[in-house]
Amino acid sequence: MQEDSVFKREYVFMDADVSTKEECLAFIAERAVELGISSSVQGTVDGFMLRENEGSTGFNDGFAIPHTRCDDVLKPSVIVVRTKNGIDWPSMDGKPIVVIFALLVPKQVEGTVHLTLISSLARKLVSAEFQKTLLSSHDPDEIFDIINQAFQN
Amino acid sequence: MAKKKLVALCACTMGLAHTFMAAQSMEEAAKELGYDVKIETQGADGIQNELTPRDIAEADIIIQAVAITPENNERFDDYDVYEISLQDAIKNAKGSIKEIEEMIASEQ
Repeated sequence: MQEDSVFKREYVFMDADVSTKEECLAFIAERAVELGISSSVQGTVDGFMLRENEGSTGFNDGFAIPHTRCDDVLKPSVIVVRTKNGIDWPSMDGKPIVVIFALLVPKQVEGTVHLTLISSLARKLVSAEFQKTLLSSHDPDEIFDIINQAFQN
Repeated sequence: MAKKKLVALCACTMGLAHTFMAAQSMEEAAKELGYDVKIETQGADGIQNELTPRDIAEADIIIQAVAITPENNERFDDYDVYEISLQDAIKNAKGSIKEIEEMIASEQ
């Protein structure tokens, strides 16, 4: 993918040692600032929480898709975290959350290309096969490849 | 016999994730149940795959899975629109469509 791509190998984090939703969102926000995706840890956490408070983004089978569209985010990006242990995060089937897809989008986006990429990943997420492969993999390179492919089609 | 047609509109509050997850689930479920299907999304990337007046007029089933009031909602004024939650659309699309089929059958 291109230099300005929404998803890169360095956006995948394995075995994150977080035990709550709040810790996990803070972890993601910190990484986002380090990676130059966001300008503010607190602003990004607040952005995620604003959405979580409307309704949890915990999906089923261990997946969550926290997302925010806020001023602090500098470029549309997807950060993927696999937690060391499943975390308590309200989900549709009550299962603990293991794999987190964080979608970060600036308030103002030029064009719709990046947004369409992100929506293509959201579509892919409902595929049982995609979920299964991701959950069974502990290899960050493989996880990157699987997700990166989801963006291609 | 021509295939039955199902159209749906999905839109969540932020238009980043659930709109598209719902659209995908509904599309797969409707196809599995033998429908011709067209699903409009109103998300952060604008209106995609927009339902035309003709799509709506031809549809046997019209579904909305929305958390906001969709744009151009007056298109649907003269039709029966079945509303389901985004959560049901994502998690139980097939079951939701079947329930609607039963409702329609019992009205006839």
